[in-house]
Amino acid sequence: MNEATQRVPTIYIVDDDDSMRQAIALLLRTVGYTPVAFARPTDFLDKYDPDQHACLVLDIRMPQMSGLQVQQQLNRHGAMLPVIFITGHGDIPMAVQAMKDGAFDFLTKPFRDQDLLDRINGALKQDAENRAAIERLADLRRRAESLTPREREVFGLIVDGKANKVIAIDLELSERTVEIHRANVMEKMGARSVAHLVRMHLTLNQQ
Amino acid sequence: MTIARASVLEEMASGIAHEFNQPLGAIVTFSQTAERMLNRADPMIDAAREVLQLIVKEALGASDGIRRVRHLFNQDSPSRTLSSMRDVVQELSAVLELLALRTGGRLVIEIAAPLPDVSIDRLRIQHVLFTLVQNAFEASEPSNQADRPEVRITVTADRYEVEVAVLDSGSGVTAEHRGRIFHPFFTTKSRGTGLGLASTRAIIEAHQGSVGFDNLPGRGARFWFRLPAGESPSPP
Repeated sequence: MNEATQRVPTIYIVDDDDSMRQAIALLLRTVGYTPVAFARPTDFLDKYDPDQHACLVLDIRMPQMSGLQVQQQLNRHGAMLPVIFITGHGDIPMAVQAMKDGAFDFLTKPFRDQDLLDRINGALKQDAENRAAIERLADLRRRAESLTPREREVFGLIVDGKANKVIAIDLELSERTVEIHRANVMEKMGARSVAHLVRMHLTLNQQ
Repeated sequence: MTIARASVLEEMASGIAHEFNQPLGAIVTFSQTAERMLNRADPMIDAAREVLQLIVKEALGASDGIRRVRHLFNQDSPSRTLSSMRDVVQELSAVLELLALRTGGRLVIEIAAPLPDVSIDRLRIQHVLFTLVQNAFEASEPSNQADRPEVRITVTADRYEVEVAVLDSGSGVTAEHRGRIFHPFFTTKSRGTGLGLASTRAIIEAHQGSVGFDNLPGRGARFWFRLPAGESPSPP
């Protein structure tokens, strides 16, 4: 993935209706977004790049594959792409299902352009947060993996709230050696305090 | 088969809504886009002009849609046969039992003998009966613990008319709803189309019949339709 595609968000549009798809794409281009539109859900699923900062505007009613099925496919592949559904009159039960399946929001046709733009903004913000959270976790994992087995042991004991003296006795090491391990753990993890280290430990073990 | 037929009108309503929401949605979004194009510091006049043409095309397309829908409605010329209401009800009873089963209710059918025949489009009249019975089960909440809601169909006649009535054990029709209950798109159900009773009235009136309802003393309502006793339809 390159930095540029990461930063400039893509707004995917999937709608089988030519006019509606064209209208949404035109609106988004006019306000400066980069829309990528698909008439067929399968084409979208083929081309969709999970590394791209993006959100999806998805018609709920399509003949080939419904919007709900598209969302379920995305969920199955662990995609975190925020989805904004476009629904018609009488699609409320489908919209309810979509929200249950984790949709970001839905809009009923016809809608105010500002409502769509607001939701796209919100969806992109959520996508950015999701990506940042995943990046933070990956960074934390990398740091944790850089610890030596001994440092990992010391890490666990610090988090348990044990003092250096106690750790030294537990591990049959000199207090001085424990101090060095402790300094290494703090340094490698980038921890500012023991409390910070405890939070990192919790985050790592939540996953 | 019959159930599929019964929901034809609802399908149609949903089709019509889709038919118009699609172009309407596009027209609204196109228009708002054109407005944004013109409101910019550097107005995109040529682009906006093109968008206006797209709006015109969409609007013309929608009016074709109207013609398509009208055609759909006009297509159906009723095909009437002289039928016994007893057969019509009995033919449908398996489907009605299914409705009862779904709502945990009980269906009672009482057909008086003898009945004069009626000249009807069987499928349409069955659609009417299905709608009334479906409504009746939906209106009938269990009155007390063990009671299964009961819906009663009665078929009675004199020399001139056959009357079919569907009695439910619901809370009746409120005074507020009385005047509007047969109006198209009027509904009290969260998922209703408001077309069930409207199509019922249209079908019965096309048969030169009448349709109405009364609240029952105590609880429940009684929806009925009457069809004129038929001679064979005059040959074309």
